[in-house]
Amino acid sequence: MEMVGRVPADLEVEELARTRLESWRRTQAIHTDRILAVLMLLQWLFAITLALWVSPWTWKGSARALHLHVWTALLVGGVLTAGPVCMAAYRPGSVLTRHVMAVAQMLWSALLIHLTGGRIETHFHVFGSLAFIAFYRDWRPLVTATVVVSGDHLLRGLFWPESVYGMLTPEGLRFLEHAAWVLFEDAVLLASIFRSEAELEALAWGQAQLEVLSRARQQASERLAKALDELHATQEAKIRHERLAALGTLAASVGHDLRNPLGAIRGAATFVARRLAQGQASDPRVPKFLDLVDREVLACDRIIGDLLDFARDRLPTRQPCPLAPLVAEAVELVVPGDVSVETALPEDLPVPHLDREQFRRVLVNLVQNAVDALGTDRADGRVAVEAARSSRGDSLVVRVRDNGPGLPEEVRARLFEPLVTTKLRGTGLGLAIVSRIVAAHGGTVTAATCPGSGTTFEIRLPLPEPETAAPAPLPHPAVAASIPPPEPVTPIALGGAA
Amino acid sequence: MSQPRILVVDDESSILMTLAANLELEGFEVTGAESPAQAIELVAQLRFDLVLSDFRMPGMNGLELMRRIRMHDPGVPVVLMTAFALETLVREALGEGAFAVVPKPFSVADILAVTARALARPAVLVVDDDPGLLQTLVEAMELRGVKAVAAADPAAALEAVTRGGIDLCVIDMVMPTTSGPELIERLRAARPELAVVGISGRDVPEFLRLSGRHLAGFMRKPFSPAALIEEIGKARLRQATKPPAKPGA
Repeated sequence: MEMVGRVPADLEVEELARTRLESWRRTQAIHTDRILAVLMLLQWLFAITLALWVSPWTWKGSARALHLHVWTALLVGGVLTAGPVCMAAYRPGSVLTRHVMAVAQMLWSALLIHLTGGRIETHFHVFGSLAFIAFYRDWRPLVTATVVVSGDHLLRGLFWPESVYGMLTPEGLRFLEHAAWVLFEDAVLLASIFRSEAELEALAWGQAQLEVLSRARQQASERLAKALDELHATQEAKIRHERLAALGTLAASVGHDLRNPLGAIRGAATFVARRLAQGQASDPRVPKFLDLVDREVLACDRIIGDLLDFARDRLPTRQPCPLAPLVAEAVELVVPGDVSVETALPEDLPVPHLDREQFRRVLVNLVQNAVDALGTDRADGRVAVEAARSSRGDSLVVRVRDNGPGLPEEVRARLFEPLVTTKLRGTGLGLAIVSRIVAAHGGTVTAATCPGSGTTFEIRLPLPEPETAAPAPLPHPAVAASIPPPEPVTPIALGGAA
Repeated sequence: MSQPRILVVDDESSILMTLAANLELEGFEVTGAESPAQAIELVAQLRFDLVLSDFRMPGMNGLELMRRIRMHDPGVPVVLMTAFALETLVREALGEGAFAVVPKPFSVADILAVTARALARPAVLVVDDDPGLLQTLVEAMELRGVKAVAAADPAAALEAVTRGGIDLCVIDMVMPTTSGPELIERLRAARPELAVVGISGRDVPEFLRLSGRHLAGFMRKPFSPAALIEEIGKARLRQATKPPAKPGA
């Protein structure tokens, strides 16, 4: 249930504070009980000593005997001490113990006063005792003590005045004067008790609050740690999932793309077999279908090759490799259709450091794409391959242009990602492979397209420093497919170098 | 009698060419369409006895094409071919009454066998003593372009099978007068080529054990008519493409 405001926290703090307070008070009480018990014992010892020292021997004729005071000190003192000490031993901290202590202590004052014959200095013991009782920080034993001491003074004042005042005829209400001073001290002690109680409560409350807050913070930080762990796990699971999904999509796409050529091959083979069995080897479709078989086998091979290339991710071994013959080779490998492929590579083109096989792949993919884009129904379809040193002189620029319909909107953003294709029979891996190989060579590949006018793919390769003999060591490409394709606004003119 | 006219639809020209050539060798008259749009145009103009279509094509898939073709000619059997299509789509196509869905790459013999069956426009015989269910099933099938005949008791069933034109029976395994396995025996005696799909409201392990090898499929009631029709399509494909029985089996 949702609770608004600070209520639940407050309740918890209150609980905790109260528990703390009680525990502290109890400790204090037990502590004080012990102190007073020890005090009682000391007093007893003191009383006996006092009696022995102060009280004279009594003479009975010529026999010396201990004064009555000594016996009184011993026996009454013993009783007065035994009770409290037992209570302190067996019921420390209990409220009854306190009261017992209070009563006993005040009676001890009375006894000591009696033993010293009402000596004025001994009356000060009363005030000291009250202070000791105030150690309990509880007003109740103080009341008990006050009652006992006042009652004692009143009664002894009436019936045995020399025991308490040291004289036979005190003023009638002398006890009131004593009581008044007692009450005065009570007032001071009570004020102190209440004050210290308030301080203690505040302290308990403060501590409790602190503890509650610290506990809450601890819990929050634990929850955070747990949430972070879960987040990590979820992220990892998601990455694994995505990888599996990508694999699944790739498998499905490739599987489908391979099965069609296989179906055609099967059909062609069956047809040819039947025609031959029927003695109709001269059917013009026979050689046509045999050609078809060959073409479809190549198509399968290309698809599988794409897949393997995509999966292989080899580091290129770069060597000086003149571009012109490589371009010629690549163009030859491409199925031309009805399109003319022109190459324009200047004589003084710098020689880049390339992995021959991989870069040929790049060229084949780009040129084949350009040819495919033009389709079979255009008489003026042209593909141009150009290369030149960049204007700044530090890189080689290779361009493959076509004057086809341009790249459609929906593929532009993800052009170099795997499984993106505009072709009916494409694996969608070609440009992903291109981008990866170019990146591994330390270069960049970009595409620019203008709807209706054509598309240009541009590769920029950093040229090696002329002094160095061996090619610079290659960093492993961190991200292969992160090449963004820009879009120009102006259409592209074909024909001629840039 | 004119030769049966077949429409082949596939965006892969190599498949189109080879399949058309093989069908022509069998003596069929074949028209090819390289796109679903072209196929619909042709169906609007000409009458075909069978349509063979690829499943995955740009613009429209085979299922959609089947629906559109059926708008012009509700009874024409449609056989779909697939290199890799979503299973759900395949099941949907079967459930909507495609005669069969043939996986690529197929053997030409298989496709010819399925073609021959489809051209014969066979009917499904439904045998169940519950007249309500019987009517529902037959109507559902007809709605999806599957020819169906109803029989409320074993005698009617036997008569229909003997008459001919039936390639598959859907039989209720638990009927008051005759048990399923018995009826199956009698029907197959009359026509050994018959495919049988059993249905039942209860678990009938004994019956299944007895007739197991004769049953092309089994469904527990309640089932949706589409699910049954899907099962029929699968059974028909299996029946058409299974190797010929050894003598004495």
